[in-house]
Amino acid sequence: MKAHQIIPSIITGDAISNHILEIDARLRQWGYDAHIYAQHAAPELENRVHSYTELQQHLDAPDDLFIYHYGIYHHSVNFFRAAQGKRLFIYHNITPANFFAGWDKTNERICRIGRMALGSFNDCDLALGDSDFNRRELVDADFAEVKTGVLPIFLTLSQFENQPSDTGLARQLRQPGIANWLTVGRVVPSKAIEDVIRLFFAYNKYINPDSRLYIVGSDRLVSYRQALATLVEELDLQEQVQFSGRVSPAQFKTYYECADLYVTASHHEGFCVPLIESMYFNVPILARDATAIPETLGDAGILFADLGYAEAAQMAHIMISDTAVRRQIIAKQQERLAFFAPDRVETILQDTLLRLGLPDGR
Amino acid sequence: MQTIKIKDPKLNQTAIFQQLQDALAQMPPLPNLAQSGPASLSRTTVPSQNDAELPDFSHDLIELVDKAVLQETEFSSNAPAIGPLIVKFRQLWNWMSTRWYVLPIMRQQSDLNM
Repeated sequence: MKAHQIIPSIITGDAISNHILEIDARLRQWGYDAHIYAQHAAPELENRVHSYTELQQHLDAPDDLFIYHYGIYHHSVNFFRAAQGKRLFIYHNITPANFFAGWDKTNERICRIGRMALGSFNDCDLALGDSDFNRRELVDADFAEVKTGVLPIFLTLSQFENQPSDTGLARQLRQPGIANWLTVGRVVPSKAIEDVIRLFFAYNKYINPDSRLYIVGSDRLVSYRQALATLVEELDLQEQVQFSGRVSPAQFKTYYECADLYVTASHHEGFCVPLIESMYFNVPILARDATAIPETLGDAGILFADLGYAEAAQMAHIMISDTAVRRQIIAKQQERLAFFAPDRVETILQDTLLRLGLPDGR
Repeated sequence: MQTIKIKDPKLNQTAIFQQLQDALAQMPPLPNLAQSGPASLSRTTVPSQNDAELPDFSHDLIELVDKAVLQETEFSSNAPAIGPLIVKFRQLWNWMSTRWYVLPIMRQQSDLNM
């Protein structure tokens, strides 16, 4: 039996791309003739990925499985719409367009269209979200509840085991007596990086001046990045706040290894992979109580609500300096990490195939 | 202590909240941080989750987006027996004569449409 996974773009090191590769590996293991299709593929993946136009020749096959990964609107969805076989729609969430209003017209338009079109896929055989938060958005977009489910992202955390750290960066970050805050992800308005900086200001200027904030992730949205730079300057934090931009895998690992606290103030997350990475690296998490964040954390980490900079900064201090509290938070995070173990996700994927009436490899 | 939420039952919430209250009592009042930075940062508001709702023109808009990216022609032929040969010849001819000129123009137009 053939299985076709479709995504507009696939790269290495990205959580969704890894997820697709993991699904592909499982499907092959279970006897499927599995293929991945994309318009853009990273050079190192070109031998594993077909051009999405090649899908045309398979659309009439009534027994094939078609899996569409939806995280942005792309015209390749029309192949999915036209496919005659079993159609599985996987929703990775799309940032609400209004977050980009006034910052980036292209992203605002693409996100708006993506969310507008969501309901038009509700005739698929099954629709899954990475989280229950995403699944509920599907139901809100008129997908039949009985035809929805949750498939968490396959997290290939074991890749970090073989990844060497960046020793030069580690020397720079690990300075005696310095508390390192970390936030990871695209530097975009929905992540509310300004709130992380303001929160860090309260901590650095009023509680612990020996502290640094590292903002790790792509910062190509120039208008927003400049506004954040102005904020950093106004709060006189130029020495303490560092934007890394995109980093190498070695640097990525090192930032986590040297972090004393992970902070996110994001307003919108469909899953939030950095929370899982923080759990893996034993970094206590302080996160905004918003969208899928509380669901991903379960009972782990500490949540904060809006407009409590002083309280949240003091909580950060306790998480960094109170050994007993810190140890318990890390222990609970490790417990939560097990919930996202690949074996468990694999079973959910098998159950999904079963729901579709397809062979599940068991 | 409405700002902080602790869900782990093994953490002593009462002790942590007391610790927080004691620390906050010692802390001087913060400036109005919510308004700090350029005005553009204050306009980021949390949108309602229902911007997935479809305005009347949305289906037309989606159709336009679908058509925005120009697609290369797939050659086909219904001629019996020699059909595949005709297709191959057309593909070769297109590759030699027009592809390198037309394809970049198609890409430019697709970018503009999007």
